[in-house]
Amino acid sequence: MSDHTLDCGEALALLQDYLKEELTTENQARVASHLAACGHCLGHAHFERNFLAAVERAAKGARCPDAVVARIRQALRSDPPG
Amino acid sequence: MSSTPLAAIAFERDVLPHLDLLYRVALRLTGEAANAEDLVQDTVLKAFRAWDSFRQGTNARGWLLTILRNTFINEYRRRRRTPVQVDLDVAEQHALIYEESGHDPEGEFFHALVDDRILAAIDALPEEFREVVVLSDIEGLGYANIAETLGVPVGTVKSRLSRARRQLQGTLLEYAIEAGIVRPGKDA
Repeated sequence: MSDHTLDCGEALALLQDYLKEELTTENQARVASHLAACGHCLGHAHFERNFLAAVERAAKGARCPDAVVARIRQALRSDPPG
Repeated sequence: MSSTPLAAIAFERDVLPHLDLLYRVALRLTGEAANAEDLVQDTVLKAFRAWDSFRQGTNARGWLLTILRNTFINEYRRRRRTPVQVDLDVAEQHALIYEESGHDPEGEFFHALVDDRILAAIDALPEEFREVVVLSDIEGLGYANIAETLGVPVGTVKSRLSRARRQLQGTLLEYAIEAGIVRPGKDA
């Protein structure tokens, strides 16, 4: 794939991995330059980004309750390792 | 016993910072706060007892997630009420989503959905989809770490993620249409 411009099919096939930054540096750059030039694929990228942002926002706020942290600390003190 | 205080200090230093992550993963796996709390506590105490076998300086997060997941599978899974599980073909689902979100092709509607709706949709995913979404899209683990935690090849992680996202997007789009946030279909 060296020195090769991506078409829409190829870019969309790589889109998920691109958004997660799981591609090689070379392919990250290739997808980025396709998105910069193609409104259709950029729309797909926005769709996926908006989706991922909403999922993270909905779930990321939960914290382990203080009572559970306290329970765990207490159990650790009365339960030596080994 | 002489090394106990030091071991306990090291354990608290390396493990307690991951409690929030463990709790969030437990919440999505069990589907219920009370079970999630118990699962986190069981996980941490098991980890404490196995602390000698953990190689310090390696990936504590992955080690803890593996313990949590095994504990869930062995002791908690049967308590979960499993909702209806749908798994449409990925391509079919993909085409459907873009067609149905015709008036909002860039998915702005996702931001208008309330958190509880999104969490309910995640919780309705089949377990093998739910766990990759949680680890990747909520907790931000890379494919390789997820593959290691789940004991499956990276390719499996990728295909599950792709199918999970499609299914989740389809459910969320349905919610958005029901709620009047999106008008379905393309412009005439």
